Amino acid sequence: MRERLSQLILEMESQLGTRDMVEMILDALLDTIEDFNTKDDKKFCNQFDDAVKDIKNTRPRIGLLIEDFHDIWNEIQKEEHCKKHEKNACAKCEDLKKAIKRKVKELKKKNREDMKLINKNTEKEIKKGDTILLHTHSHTVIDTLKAARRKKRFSCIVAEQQYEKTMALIRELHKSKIPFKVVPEHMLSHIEKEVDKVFIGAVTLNSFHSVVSTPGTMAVVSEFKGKAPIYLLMGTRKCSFWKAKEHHHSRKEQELKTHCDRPIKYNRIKFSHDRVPLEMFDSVITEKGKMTASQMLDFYKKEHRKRSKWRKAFF
Amino acid sequence: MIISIAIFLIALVFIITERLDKAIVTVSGALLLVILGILEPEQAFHSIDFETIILLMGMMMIMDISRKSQIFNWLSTKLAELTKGNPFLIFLIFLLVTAFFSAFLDNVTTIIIVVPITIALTKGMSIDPKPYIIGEIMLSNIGGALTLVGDPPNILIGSAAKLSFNEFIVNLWMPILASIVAVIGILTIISWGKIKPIKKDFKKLLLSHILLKKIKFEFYGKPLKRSFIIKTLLILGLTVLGFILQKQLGLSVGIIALAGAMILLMATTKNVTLHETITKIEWPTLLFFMGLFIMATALEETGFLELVSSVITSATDDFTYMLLIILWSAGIISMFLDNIPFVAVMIPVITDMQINMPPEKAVLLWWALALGACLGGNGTIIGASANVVGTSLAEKENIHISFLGYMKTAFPLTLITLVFSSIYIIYRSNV
Repeated sequence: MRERLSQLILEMESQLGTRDMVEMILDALLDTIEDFNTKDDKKFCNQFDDAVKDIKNTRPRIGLLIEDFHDIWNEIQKEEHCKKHEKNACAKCEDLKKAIKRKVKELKKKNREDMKLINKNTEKEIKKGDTILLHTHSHTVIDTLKAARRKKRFSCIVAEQQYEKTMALIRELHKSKIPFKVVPEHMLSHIEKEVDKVFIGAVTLNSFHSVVSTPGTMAVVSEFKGKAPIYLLMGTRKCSFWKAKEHHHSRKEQELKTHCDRPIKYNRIKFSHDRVPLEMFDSVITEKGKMTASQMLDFYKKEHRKRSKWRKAFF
Repeated sequence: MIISIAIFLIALVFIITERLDKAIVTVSGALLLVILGILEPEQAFHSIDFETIILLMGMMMIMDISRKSQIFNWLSTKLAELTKGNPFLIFLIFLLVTAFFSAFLDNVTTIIIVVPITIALTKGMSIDPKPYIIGEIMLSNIGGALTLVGDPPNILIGSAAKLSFNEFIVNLWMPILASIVAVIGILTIISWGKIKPIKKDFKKLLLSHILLKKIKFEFYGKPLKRSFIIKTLLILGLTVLGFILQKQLGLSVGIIALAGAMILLMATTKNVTLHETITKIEWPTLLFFMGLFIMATALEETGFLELVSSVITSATDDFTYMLLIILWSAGIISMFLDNIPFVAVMIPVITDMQINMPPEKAVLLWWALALGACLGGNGTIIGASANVVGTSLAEKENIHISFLGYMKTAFPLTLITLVFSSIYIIYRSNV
């Protein structure tokens, strides 16, 4: 089940971006608790815990998903604790279901509010006539551009990456009437002078202080470092406040392929994500405002320390 | 006679072993018969049942346009939503829908529509897809046996015996319904561990709901051409209505199908072109049929089939027994060989047999042939095209259904469906 869930999350993250994927999974959780047929409270808690264990250990791990499920799990623990305290009994299934629904609603509202703040903070950075380079499939970036477009005129250059992601980005820019052109990501050196800003989205910021992002981001960021301001747009809830291991945030896939017109076999190796050191970014825009990379790093370290009890209980 | 039989047998070997494309085999066989003077060119030309060819062509065009409209994807997604990720409901609904579609569309198209989404759902929920795929393959052949257009043997039989669309349904619904109920019931019992509802398993339920959301997003995320879908549905419905009212309209089913295709093309010119649609017609299949008709005629002209017919009629005086011989020989042969050449050869045999019979008795010969040929195809992986296509689609997704693995489940069930058909035929012959 964990392997299947990991595969599903990877596909959905690639199609939807992290934020929308997490929202979809929360909606699926609501449908699940509606359909889950048990009156045995202990069974409910045990099975929910089991599911959360799998969510925590998918490959790659998704910080925002784990953060949200931790909050839901915490809510269940509180509900359990209250009932035990009151009458030395377990919380009833219906109460647990209500607690989950309540928390999911809260989380979705929080995510939406955070998004509005990120839009507002990003809009301040976009100047009239800017040409913004995009190498992302992040819906956070797309939504901020859509919001900014209502008030300012600017254009975009889409760094062509994986086909579906590029097409999805083109579709959104076209829908929002944002003028754009597409340049393959390995040819960006030819348009360096046209770029005023670079916008990058993220899956998460991990304990190596690396930003996990779409493949190819490292190359783009390295190319434009010192040439144009590079902005990272992400909500702070996306951060991964646990000790990361190599395999946590990227999957390696290998396939044996054959040359198109010669009988030559070769291994083609792909990685699901890039990891870009935080210091490569000039600014990080979150719901809390604009920060430099070092300010973001301080924030991360502080939150990481605060969550040590969280980690012990949850992981 | 010997040359015709030899050419036919050699062609059969090539068809079975798949060393050459079936169309190349039968057209070459037909050409050889003409070149060797066994048939005159005009005889060969007149032996082609263009009614069947036009019916197949018309349905292929309608299917191709329907696929482009995304109506089947829309329907599959809606069905997936309806099941709410319940494995048993996925099993039941998709099997029933397969049987229904197969009655009106060709079996291979039906399998191409239902199997991929079934695999996506079941694999996504970490459920073994094999019972689902085997069930869908079987129900596609069973459902296809119900109507004149559901399976190529029925198209051949309907055209030769001048049986209408409604006559097929009226006369075959009982054994087909019994077979559907039996197959679904028995498959449910033997596969219960793999298809039981998961309402008490939180993890599996969560996985299934996540998967459903993903499928909905993938499908509804694309822009739907509503008017294209509506026109397709309407004209598809009108075509089926045309089949039902065939006698009242006084038109052959081939003309109705072609008319449906032309109307659909006219109505959807913004979405499809004639050129695109024509390139998607399975010309090799049509050529295969044309060659087969010519080869069957050669066997008939040389008197071989008359010989076969007299052997069968002299084998027994009992009419019921004769029907069972036809049913079971068609059934067993269809399990291992392509049923279309067998039916093509049996048509002149039965035409000959029924000459001195009252019509109400004679028609039972056709039903016995239809039931045996269509239902027998379920017995092995190679028994019908739908079986081969279904298992190939599964193989592409690393789901391996072996010859024996399929047969272990399908062969006993096929025997049961043939037994139900036998009971029905016995009952009809004694009424």
